[in-house]
Amino acid sequence: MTSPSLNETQRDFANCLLDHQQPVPPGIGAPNGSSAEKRFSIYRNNVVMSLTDVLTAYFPVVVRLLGEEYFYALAREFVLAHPPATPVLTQYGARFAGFISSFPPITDLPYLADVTRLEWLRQRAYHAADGDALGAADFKNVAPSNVPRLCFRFHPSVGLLRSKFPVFDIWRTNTFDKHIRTIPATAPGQAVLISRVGMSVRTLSIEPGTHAFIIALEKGENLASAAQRAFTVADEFNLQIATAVLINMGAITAITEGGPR
Amino acid sequence: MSIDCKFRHNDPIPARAGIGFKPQHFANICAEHPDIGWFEVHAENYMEAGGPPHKFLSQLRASYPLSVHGVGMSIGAEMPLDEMHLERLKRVCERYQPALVSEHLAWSTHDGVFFNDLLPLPYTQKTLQRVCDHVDHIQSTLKRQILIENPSTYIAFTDSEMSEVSFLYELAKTSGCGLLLDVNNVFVSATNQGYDPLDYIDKFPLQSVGEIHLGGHAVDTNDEDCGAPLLIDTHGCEIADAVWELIGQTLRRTGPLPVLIEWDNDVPRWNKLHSQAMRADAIMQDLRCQHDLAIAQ
Repeated sequence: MTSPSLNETQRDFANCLLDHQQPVPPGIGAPNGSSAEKRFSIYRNNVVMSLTDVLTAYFPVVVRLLGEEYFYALAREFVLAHPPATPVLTQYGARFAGFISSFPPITDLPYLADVTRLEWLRQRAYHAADGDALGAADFKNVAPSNVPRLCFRFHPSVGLLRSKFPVFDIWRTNTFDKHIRTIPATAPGQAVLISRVGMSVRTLSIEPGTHAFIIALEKGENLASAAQRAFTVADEFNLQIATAVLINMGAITAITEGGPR
Repeated sequence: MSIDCKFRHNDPIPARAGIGFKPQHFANICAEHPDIGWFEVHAENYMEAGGPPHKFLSQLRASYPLSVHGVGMSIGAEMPLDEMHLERLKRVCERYQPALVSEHLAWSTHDGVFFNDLLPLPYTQKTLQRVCDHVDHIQSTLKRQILIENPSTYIAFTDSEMSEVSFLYELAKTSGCGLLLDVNNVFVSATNQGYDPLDYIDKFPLQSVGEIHLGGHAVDTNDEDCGAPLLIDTHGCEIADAVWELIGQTLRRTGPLPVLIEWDNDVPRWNKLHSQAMRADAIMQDLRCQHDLAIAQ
């Protein structure tokens, strides 16, 4: 019998790493009188544990909400079903929220997927490209008559989330409070703006109108057009406050003039 | 927070102890300007577009010689190298101009899945050819020599045709790569595979070694089979006494070399890590003294 090709050996090895029911592939010996099953389990364990550590670091509030033991069990299911597609592990976890939202045993925590999305946006903001944010002074030379036609370019770290659940309050109390507050899941939904200012990632709860406003601006609409969309979402939308929020969050890197879109 | 710039851009790695850089130690390094020979980073942690990691590393690089250690090239895979990943590694090297670049004799990717572990391969003429081709491709893309590290292993392949040392010797000879000798990996593999670690060192092509790694391992106490010892390469604790002994014996054969202290999991406080580096430096200082004495006599 000819020995298997390296590709076949690695295919079998890889399948066994992810399918723990499969027996250890042939051709693998356990030196020193040990059992091949036992020795192979070290590799299986390394894969699951090292990737679980990655997820634990990126989703600390999800860990708190589920408890470590349950989180590890969930992470293991996720790792085996959706292992990384790249060695750049800072990009691993994009599919975790989707996995959680369709994981039957935790459908009684409907807000968990959105908390996961919030933490993922923070993780991405941390690694996003650098960019110089504009300050209030940069707006001083804009002629008032030009303001309605202004368009903004956003910092690469800017992320937005809108949830049916009080996702910001849940995240905040689990991140900062010594005694975690109970947030009723039935409380009004929240929108969140995330941005990195210098070295630190900031997370802010924003009004629904402001959320619609930023979405429109991100699509390239000018201030007048974006404000109009915001008013259709919320009567109380305040253009000045919303713009100040964006400036304070270091979210704007350039102003251009554009016609209505 | 910043570090004074004391070093030139293209400093070689000195024959001293270096430390695997962890961002949680950045504040200590800035405050203390420790007398550390050099730092090493994992290439994959610096492949994103921006953010704090690049700020940390830029400042560190301005003050210390740097070694870049890849953990994701999967040079032991039969499948072609991930060209996008190689391009990312190239960008890290261009940006930070490391004095050393290293990777592992292992595979970690198959069919587009990355396993985040350094997986073993059978040592045969065919796999040797494959690894040589991959190393050759990386070296010609990066336009520099790289070092390849011996793995820690838990299993053996029944169709291996040669020893790990012979494989590495042939790899260095054919591809022109250098070798990174991980002395903890030697100790872990030798224990798990039932051979003598010093015999491995004696047979190792020491003239090709450009760097040494030292890390901690765990002892598996749940081995319910024959009672044979099982060690796991965890990089999560202090270096074992037996490994300190082995590094002393290794350095007596090689003379002083760049020796890296690796501690990647359950990362300790800076002082604890620093003291492990000082211990490695002390071993090399003793060797230099003995050498000088021998010459004087």
